[in-house]
Amino acid sequence: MMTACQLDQIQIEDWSPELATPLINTSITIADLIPEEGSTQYDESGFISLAVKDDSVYVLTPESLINVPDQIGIEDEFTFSDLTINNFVQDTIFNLEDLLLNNPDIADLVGIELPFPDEQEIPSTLFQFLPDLITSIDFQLDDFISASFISGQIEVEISNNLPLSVNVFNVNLSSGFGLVGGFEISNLSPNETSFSTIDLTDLTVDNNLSIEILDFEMENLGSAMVTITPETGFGISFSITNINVNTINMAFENQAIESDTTFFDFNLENGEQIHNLILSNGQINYSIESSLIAPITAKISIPSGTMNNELFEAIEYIELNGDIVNGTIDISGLNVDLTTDINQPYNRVPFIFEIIINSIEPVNLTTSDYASIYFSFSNLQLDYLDGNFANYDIDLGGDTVDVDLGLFDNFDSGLVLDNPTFSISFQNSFGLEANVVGELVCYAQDDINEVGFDLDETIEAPDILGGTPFSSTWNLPSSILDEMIALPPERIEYSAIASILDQGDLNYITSDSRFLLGVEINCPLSLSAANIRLHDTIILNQLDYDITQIERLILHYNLINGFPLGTEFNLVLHDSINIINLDTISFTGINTANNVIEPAIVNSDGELIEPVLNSGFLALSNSEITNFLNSNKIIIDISLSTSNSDNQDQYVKIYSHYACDLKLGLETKINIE
Amino acid sequence: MTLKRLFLYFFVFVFTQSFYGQIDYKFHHNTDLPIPNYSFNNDSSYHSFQILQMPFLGLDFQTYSNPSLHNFLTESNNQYVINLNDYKESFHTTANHLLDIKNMFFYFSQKKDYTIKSYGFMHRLFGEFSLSNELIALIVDGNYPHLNQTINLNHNYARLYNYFALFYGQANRINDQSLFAFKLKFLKGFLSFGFDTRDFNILVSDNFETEENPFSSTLNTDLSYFMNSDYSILSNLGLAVDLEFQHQLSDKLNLYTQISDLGFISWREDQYTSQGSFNFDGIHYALDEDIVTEFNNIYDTIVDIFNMRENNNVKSINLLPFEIDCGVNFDSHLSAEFFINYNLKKLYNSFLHTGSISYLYYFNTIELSIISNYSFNQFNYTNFTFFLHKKWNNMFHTNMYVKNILGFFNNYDFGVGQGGGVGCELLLSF
Repeated sequence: MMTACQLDQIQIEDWSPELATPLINTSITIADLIPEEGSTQYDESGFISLAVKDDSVYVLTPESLINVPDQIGIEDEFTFSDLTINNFVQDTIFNLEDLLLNNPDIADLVGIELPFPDEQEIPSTLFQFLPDLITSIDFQLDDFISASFISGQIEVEISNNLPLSVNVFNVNLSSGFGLVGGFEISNLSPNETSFSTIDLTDLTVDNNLSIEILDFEMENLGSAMVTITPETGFGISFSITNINVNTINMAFENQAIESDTTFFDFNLENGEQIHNLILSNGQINYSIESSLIAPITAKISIPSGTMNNELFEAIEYIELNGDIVNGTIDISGLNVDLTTDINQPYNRVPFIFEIIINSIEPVNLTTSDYASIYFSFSNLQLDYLDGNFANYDIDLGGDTVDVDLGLFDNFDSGLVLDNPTFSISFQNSFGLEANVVGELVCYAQDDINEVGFDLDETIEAPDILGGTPFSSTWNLPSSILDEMIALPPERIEYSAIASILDQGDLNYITSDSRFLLGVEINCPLSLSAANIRLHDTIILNQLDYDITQIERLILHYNLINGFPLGTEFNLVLHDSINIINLDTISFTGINTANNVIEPAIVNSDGELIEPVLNSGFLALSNSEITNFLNSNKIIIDISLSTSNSDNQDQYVKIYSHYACDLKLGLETKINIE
Repeated sequence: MTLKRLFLYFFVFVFTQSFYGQIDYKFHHNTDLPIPNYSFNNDSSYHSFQILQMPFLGLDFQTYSNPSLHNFLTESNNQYVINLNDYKESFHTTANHLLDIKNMFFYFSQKKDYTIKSYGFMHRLFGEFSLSNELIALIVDGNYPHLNQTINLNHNYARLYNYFALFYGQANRINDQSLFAFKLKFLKGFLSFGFDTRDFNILVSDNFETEENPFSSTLNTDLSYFMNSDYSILSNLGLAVDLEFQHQLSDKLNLYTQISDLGFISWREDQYTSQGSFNFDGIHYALDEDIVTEFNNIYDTIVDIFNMRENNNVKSINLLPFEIDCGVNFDSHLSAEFFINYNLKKLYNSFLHTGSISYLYYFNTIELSIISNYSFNQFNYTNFTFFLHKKWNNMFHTNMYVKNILGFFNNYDFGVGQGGGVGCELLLSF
């Protein structure tokens, strides 16, 4: 009893059960062997084709046809020394009434009514006292603070609105910085105007002007009475003209400091001539770097451009701050005529820009001030473009198309397909006609064997703008196609040039315009002669069994061959670590000849009617069992061939759902001790 | 350690000095012998005694086996060799194996006037399994020899009970001719396990040269399996009684009957059943699956095939494997007694009938009593048992017995193979 628990002291002998058990049922379909990937495609019924279709092997876009520069820039720089300041004018009126209102005692003394009625008569002798009343005149110039002149002049215009003449009027003009100059007027009759000029060269002037009257003498009419009105007096107009200054501090009204009229040139390299374009997107960028601190107005206009049916002009209000100021102007939808330049009536966009200072507050300008202005067009996207592109060759370039017809590698030579096709498609929505000349070369996997053919096709334009794109298809002759399938091709290299033809009309391009070159290869797996070798893999892991316990191991199988081709069915025991095939187990039973299981029965259309049964058993030797346990992969190696077909001309269609059902049962005797 | 040893010396000293008990030479109260538990002449007399079994020194082991162990079990190079083929060939319809182990952890009995009271704590392990010849043949030979034949695996079962009992017993002289005794046992189940195959058959057929799997199997199952699920202290409780009645027909002739372990335990079990008809024709494997994983998941497949239904923590009340004894006792009053006993032991779905004849003789001078016994049942027709009781220093008593003693001396057949048993205990009377 005590030793009963010591299992190591208990030994079991003569225990060799014989077991039979269903083991596994699996179905190997054509889909397992030829999965739908790459160029292998199934249709709705599962019929397999090797098809490569790429409608856009080459795509010609408007951007690649017409290389409109994305960035076009203009840069201008100016300094204050180049600045021409507008003339400055200020009018001042000195009324007699205003003068007497400041001296009412005199008015009372001589009996002048204040304020003045519309008209009143006074003795003319009273004007003899006027020089005594006016000894100097002080006044300020509005919107002008100061200026240091390189050159310039003050023009003084005095209008005599008195009822009698001024015999002598000598004055000196001074500002806060000292004497500016003097002028002399004589015999200025009523309602006459006198002009005097003072040179401001090298002078500094501020707005605190004063006129010192040196000599002032009025006409003496004796006792005659004269009529005075509220407008009776002097009108004085100061104009500073021809201004060229070192510094100036004043308010500017619409002071243009820079302007330019120029053309943007697209500078197309291939001789294309653009006449009109519409931008679907685009913008004008500006960057102003200036030492000025002032508000400015930038006016940008394109004389031949319209936007929303109006001439394009953009006004930007910019606050210069002594640093760099950036901004953007949207020009999406701009419609431009590029033919306005007489010298080059294409590809040129007229462009005007103007920089204006318009400041209520005084602005200080010096000769060290500067402004650097940079304009550029960017993000230009075409919505429409027309012009003349005749005799322009477009290099369609060259590229490689991975056609991935590697399944053909599994076929031995002699593959005969029912109805393969190879075609090249063209589609054009550009408003131009072209002749495409090119070459296509198909290369086999070994990169040595190749089949090439030339291409020469005329591509037309759509009938109307926005109409249905032109399309055409070029089919490869069957003789070349057979050669190509025999390669089989792994990749196709092409190169082509499209020469634009002059059809007499303007060529046009829209943003949707495309030229597409496509390739389509279609090889339905309906074959009359083939020998294909296909594989699938079963991964094995962690098989650990002491085979010394196995006295007998027999695999019974029923294999229902639903493949319409003669089938050689092998299991290859593979060691992927040492990369060797350890053993091959072949299924050869009834309905087998030369290790090839008879194909399933097909009808006249090549479609499956009835599968064929193959049944037998595999008595595995110890070495085979060992190899099985040592393998980590079982490669299902299936060879399908038409070689044992009754009718060699019979086409057989390959469907993905065709299956070979393998049903395994195990008979074994194991020795358990 | 020293403290424990001092306590033991003190315990023995107190009992040996403080109490005095009339010496009885029939202290076989706990042994599994086909004789009454109580001796009417002695136990119904007016004298007192106390008996204390030395704790953990009571063992009663009994086993039966058909086929006999010697049919398939041999010893070679200190290893026991089981020959399953011999096992299969050594029985015709059913193999039965039975194991019954009783451990008396504590026992104290006191007689005062005409009443004997007893207290104790014991453990019992009872196991029984029965296998049909078809099942053994399937295990030993496999299913291939039975291809295209239905293999019936009905009426295979196993039961295993493991429980503890805390009891109180009392025996009283009813009158000058009668004695009645009982024990009330409070049970605590520890382990319960069992399975049954009621209507279970397997058919494996070959389908060579068909579109089916080369082999297919059909299973009709009606089997169940259970195991207790709750191991907490207050789980799996039960109640049982031992009853004994003796009647003295004459001065030398007694009739007696007794029943032991009549009771039940209310178990909490996880039960698994499978009923239905199922077909298995192999694992269906798709190439994009991991074949090793599929085989590793074969347990799931088997569960699917057998459609196992699982009921957890189900309350289940099971009767204990009780026994009934009845017999006659002839007392010669010359230090010798003679017993004829019939024993009925309840098994899972049958009863084990055992008849026995026992002879007891007491050697007064050396204070030694022996019992020789011959019994027979379906397992063994030549079962001789020898019981030995010895009194030491008028206070210590040892009981020992060996069942199927011929088997122990018959090495050629490994004679205990048909069954056997041993028992021993050390008692202290005062």
